[in-house]
Amino acid sequence: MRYVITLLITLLFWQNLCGQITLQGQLKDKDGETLPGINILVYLPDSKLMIAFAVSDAEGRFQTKVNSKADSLDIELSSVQFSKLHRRIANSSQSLQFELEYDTKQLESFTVKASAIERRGDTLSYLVSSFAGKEDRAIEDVLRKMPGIEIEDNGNILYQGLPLLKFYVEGLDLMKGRYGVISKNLPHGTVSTVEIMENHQPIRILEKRVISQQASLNLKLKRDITTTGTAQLGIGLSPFLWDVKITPMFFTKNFQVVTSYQTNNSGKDVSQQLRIMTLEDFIHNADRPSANPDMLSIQAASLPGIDQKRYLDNKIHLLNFNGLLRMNKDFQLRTNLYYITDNQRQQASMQRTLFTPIDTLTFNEIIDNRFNDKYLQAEFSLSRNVEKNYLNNDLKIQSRWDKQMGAVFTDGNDIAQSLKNPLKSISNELRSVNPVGKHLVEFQSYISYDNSPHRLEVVPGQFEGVLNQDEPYEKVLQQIDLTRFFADHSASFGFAWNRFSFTPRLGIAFRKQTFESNILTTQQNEVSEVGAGFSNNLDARHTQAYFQSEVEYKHGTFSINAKLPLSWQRVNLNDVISESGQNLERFLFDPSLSLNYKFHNFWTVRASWTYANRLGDIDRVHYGYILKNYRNLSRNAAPLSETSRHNFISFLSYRNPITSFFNSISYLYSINQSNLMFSNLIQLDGTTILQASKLPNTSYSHSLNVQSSKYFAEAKSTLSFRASYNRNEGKSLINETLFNTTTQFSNFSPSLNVHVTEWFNTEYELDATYIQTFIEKELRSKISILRHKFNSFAFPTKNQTFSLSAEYCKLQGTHNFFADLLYRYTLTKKKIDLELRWNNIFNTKNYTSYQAYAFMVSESTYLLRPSQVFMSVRFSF
Amino acid sequence: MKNILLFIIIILSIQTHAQFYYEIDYTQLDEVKLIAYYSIKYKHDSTNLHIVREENMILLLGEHLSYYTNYRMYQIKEDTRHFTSLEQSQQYYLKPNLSAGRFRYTIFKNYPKDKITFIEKVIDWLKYEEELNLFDWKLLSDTSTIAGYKVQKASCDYGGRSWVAWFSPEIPFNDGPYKFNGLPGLILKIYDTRLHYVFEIKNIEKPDKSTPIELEERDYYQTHKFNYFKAKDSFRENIRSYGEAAGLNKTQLENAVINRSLQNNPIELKQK
Repeated sequence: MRYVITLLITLLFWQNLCGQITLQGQLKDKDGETLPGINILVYLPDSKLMIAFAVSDAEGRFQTKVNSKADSLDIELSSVQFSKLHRRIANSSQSLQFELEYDTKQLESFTVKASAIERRGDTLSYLVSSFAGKEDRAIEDVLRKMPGIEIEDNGNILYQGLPLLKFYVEGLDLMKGRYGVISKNLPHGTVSTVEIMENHQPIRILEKRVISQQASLNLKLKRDITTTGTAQLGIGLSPFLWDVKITPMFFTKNFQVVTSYQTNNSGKDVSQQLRIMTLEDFIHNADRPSANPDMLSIQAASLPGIDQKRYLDNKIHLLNFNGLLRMNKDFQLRTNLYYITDNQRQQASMQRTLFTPIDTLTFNEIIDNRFNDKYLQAEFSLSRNVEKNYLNNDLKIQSRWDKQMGAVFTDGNDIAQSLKNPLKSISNELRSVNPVGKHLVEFQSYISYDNSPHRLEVVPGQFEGVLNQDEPYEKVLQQIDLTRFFADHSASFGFAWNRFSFTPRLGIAFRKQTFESNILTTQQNEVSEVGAGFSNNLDARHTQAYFQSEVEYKHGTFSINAKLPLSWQRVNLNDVISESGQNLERFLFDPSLSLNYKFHNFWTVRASWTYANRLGDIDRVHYGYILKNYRNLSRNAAPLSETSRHNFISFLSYRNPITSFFNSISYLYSINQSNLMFSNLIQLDGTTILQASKLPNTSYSHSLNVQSSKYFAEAKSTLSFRASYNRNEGKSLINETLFNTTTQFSNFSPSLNVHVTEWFNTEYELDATYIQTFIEKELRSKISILRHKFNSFAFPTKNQTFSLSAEYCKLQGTHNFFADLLYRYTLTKKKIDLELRWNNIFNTKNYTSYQAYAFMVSESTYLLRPSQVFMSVRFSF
Repeated sequence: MKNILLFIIIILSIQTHAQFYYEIDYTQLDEVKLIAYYSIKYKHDSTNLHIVREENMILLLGEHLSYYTNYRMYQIKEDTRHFTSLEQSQQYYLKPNLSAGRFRYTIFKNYPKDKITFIEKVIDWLKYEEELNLFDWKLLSDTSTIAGYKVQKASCDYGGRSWVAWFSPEIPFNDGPYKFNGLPGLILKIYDTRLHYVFEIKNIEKPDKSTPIELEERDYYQTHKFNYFKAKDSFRENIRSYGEAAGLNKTQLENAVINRSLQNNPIELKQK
C-alpha cells in the first residue's frame, strides 16, 4: 500500500515537473466519416522540432502523450489524400476534433528532390585507382571490392547476383566464356576504369526485342599497349612431379592476344579445357557425325569411376593462343589455337566372364598401354554484329596424329598392338539472325569434312582360322580410310497465341561418306591381302529433311508440352567389292508428350511419353570384316539398323521446406525394338567374331529411383538415402545360341551429413551395390560392392581450407582403402596461393571396378598413382 | 551417350515447374501514388564485417497499402509479365538459376488491414502475416536534411537490434523500407546501431503512368513467421544436400557451404 502511494506521488510529481499531458481526439471528413491512417504531428510552437505524434486508428481516433514546458503546441495533420491542417492549441490535456478536406492535388504539388539512382540500361563506370589497395594484384582483386560485384571461387564474376553475360577488354570479347584467364592474371595497374553495362544484349539486332537480364563488364586499359602476365608453379614427389602454367598477355584497342603454356605430369588432364560442351550443344548437335570415328582401338581397360587425379599417369604439354582483331566497326576476327602433346601410360588387369546357357567362359588379360597423342585445333570466327542483322561464322580445323602402343598378356601369350589413329577435319558453322516482317528468323548452317586413315597392327597374327588357313602367322594389319562430308541447314522462328507457344524449325541435312578397308597378313616377310570378305569399299549417303515443332500450353500450375518432329530420311549404301548395298526411304514421326502438375503446395507430379524411331549410323555398316581390336573381328552386312523406342517416365515428389523433408520417386519403363542383332562367335582364346544379322528383337528396361532426405535442426544433421533398382531384359546370340538375358542392379545408399560448426562439416556415406546376371532366368553371377565414404571439410579461417577424404571398399572379398589430404592457404596480402596436397596417403596400389553387360561381367583392376605429396604456388609477373 | 541421356532425364525431373510472371494472374489492391527507391548496404557475414554488399529495393506507396520488394525482381516482373511465349522467357532467362539478389521477399503493409504480409520463395512460395503495429518508436529531438527533405530522428528496438530512423514529415506516408512503418512521414534512412544494415533513400518519384499495386496469385503456403525462419535456416544449413541434388561437384559444394556459412547475420536476430 505504501508503495502504491509513493508511486502515485511520484507520478503526480513527475507530471507536474515535466508537464506531461495527453492529447486525444477523432478525425472525420466533411460527411462525418471517420478517417484512419492520418498523421497527427505535435510541434513546439514556431519550431520544426516534432515532440510527439500519433496515427489515427480504424475509428479515426488518436491519442498521444506530450512532455513539454511550452505554453502552447502546434498540431499538424498530414496524409496523402487530405490537405494539411495546422492548429495551435494550449499545452494541456484535451480532446480535439478535426474535420479534414480531401485534396487530390496534394501529392502533385509535392516535388521530388533526391538524385536519380543508376537506372536500367545505364553504363556505370568505376575508377580502378579509387578501389585498389596495396595488397591487390590482379584486376579480380579490385573487382571484388566494387559495389554489386561478387566473385565466386571458380572465378565466375557475378553482378547483382547474376553471372556476367560478356567480359570485354576494350570492348572486345577475346576469351568467350573463359574470361577467368584474364580476370585472374591481368594486373589491376594496367586498367583505368571498369564499366558495367546493365541489361546488356550483346546481339544488337535483339537489343530492342529481347531484354537481357544480365550485365556485361568492360575493362578500359590505361595505355594503348599493355603487356603483362602471371605464372603458377607446382612441384611434388615422388617421382619428380611438376605442374606449370604461364600466361603472358598483350592488349591494344584493336588487337589482343592471350597465350598460355601448361605442362604437368601430376594427373591433371588439362586438355579437358577444350571439351567444354553445354547440354544445349548436345541436344542441338545430336544428328552430326561423331567427332572421332575411332573405329579401331588397342585393348584398353575401362576407366575406374574415381577422381582422375588418382590414376592418370600422364605427361602433357598444352599451348594455347587466343587472338582477336577488330577489322572495322562492324567486323571482328577471332582465333583460338590449341596444341597438345600428351604421353599417357595405362596399366591394368582385366577379367571377362561370359555366360551362355551351357557354358561359363573366363578370360584374363594384363594390359600395359602407352598413348602418344599430338593434337592441333584452330578456330577462326568472324562476326558482324549490327542493328540490322547478326552473323557469326566459326571455322574449325582439327588435326590429330597419334601413336598408341599396347601390350596384352593373355593365357601365356604376349600380344603387341600398335595403332595410328590420325584425323584431319574441317568444319564451318554459321548462325545468323535477320528480320523477316515482324519476326526474327534464325538461320543455321553446319558443314563438315573429315578424313581418318587408321592402321592397326597386331603381332602375332590373330584369327588364324579365318585369316590364315589355321596357320600361325607373324602379324596382321588392318587398314581403314574413312572420308565423310556432312551439311545441315535449318531455319527457325517462334510465335505465340494465347497460352500456347510454338517454335518450329525446318531443315535439311545431307551426309556422304566413303569407307575403304582391307586386312593384310605377314608371314615370313611376305605380305598378302586376305581378300574379299575382309575388305570394304563402301559409298554411303544419308539425306534427311526435317520439321521440328514444339507446342506448349501452360495454365497456372499445370502445363503440357508436345514435341512433334517429322522427318523424311533416305539412305543409299553401295559396296563395290561385295556388290551389296541398300536403298532405304523412311518417313519418321517421333512424338513426345509431357505433363506437369503441382498441387497442395508441396506435391508435384509429372508424366511423359516419348516415341523415337532411329535409323542406324552409317559409320557402322561394313559389308566386309574389319579387325576392330586384337580380339574382335566384326562384320555388319545386314540391312541398316532400325530401332524404335517407347519411353514412359513418371515422377512424384513431396518437398516441404518448413519441415525440411524432401522425397521423390520416379519410374522409367522403356521398350526397345530393333531389327538387328549381333551374333557373337566366341573362340577358345577369347577372340570374338561379331556379325550383325537380321533378327527382330525387343528389349525392356525398368528403372525405379527413390530419394528421401530430412534435415534435423537440433542436431544440425541431414539424413538422406537413395535407392535404385534397374532391370534390363533382352536377348543375346552367342555361338549360335539365342537366349534371354536379364541384368539387375540394386543400389542402396544412406548418408549422414553433420554440420558440426559453421566451419566444420563432416559426411559419411554408405554405398551398397548388388549386381545380378541371369541367363535364361538362371542366376549366373552376383557381385556385391560395399563402399564406405568419409569426407571431412573445414575452413577455420577464410583463407585456410582443409579437407580429408577417405574411402574403404569391399568388393567380392577384396579390400581397398585410400585417403587424400588437402590444405590450402591464401596469403591475401601478397595474393599468393599455397596449396599442399597429399594424395593416396596409404599408398594403395590399385582399384577394382565392375561392369555388367547382358551376358558378360568384366572386372578391371587399375594401377593407381602412388602416394604423392604436391605443393604449388601462384603469382603474377 | 547413355549417361548424358540419363543426365537429361535427371535434370528434367529435378527441375521444379517454375511459373513465369506472364503465366500468373494478378489482383489489384491499390494504385501507386509514390515510388521510393532505397539502397540497402548490409554485412551478411558477422565475422567479416568489412565486407559490405549493396542491393536496391523499391517501395510502392499506395493510398491504403504499400508494396516493398527487390528492385531487380520488380524489373524482371515488369519486363516479363506481358510475355506471351515460353521462348521469350527462355531468351530472357538465359541462365537457369536466375537470381535477383539476396533479398527476394515481398512485403505488403496494411494488407490485410492492420497486418504485414511477407512473401518469399523458399523452395516453395511461403507467406506469413504479422501485426502492422510492430514498432514502438521513440521520437528524438535531432533534425537534419536528407536528399533535400527535412528529417527528424526516431529510434526503436526490433528483432534484437536497436534501430535509428530518419523520417520526413514532409512526405506524409507512415511507411519505410522492410517492415518499418508507423512514423508520421516516410523513413528516408534507417540503420541498426552497429551499422550491419543501412537503408537509405536513393530516389523518390511519382509514377509517370497509372501503376497498380498487385498481389501475384500463386499457390502460397500460408504459415507462421517461425516456420518461415525455420525453412530459411534449414535451407542454409542444408545447402549441401540441395547442391548435391542439383549435381554440383565436390569443389562447388564446398564453396556453397563456405558462402552460405558467411550469411550468418540476418536482419532479424530475434525471430519471435
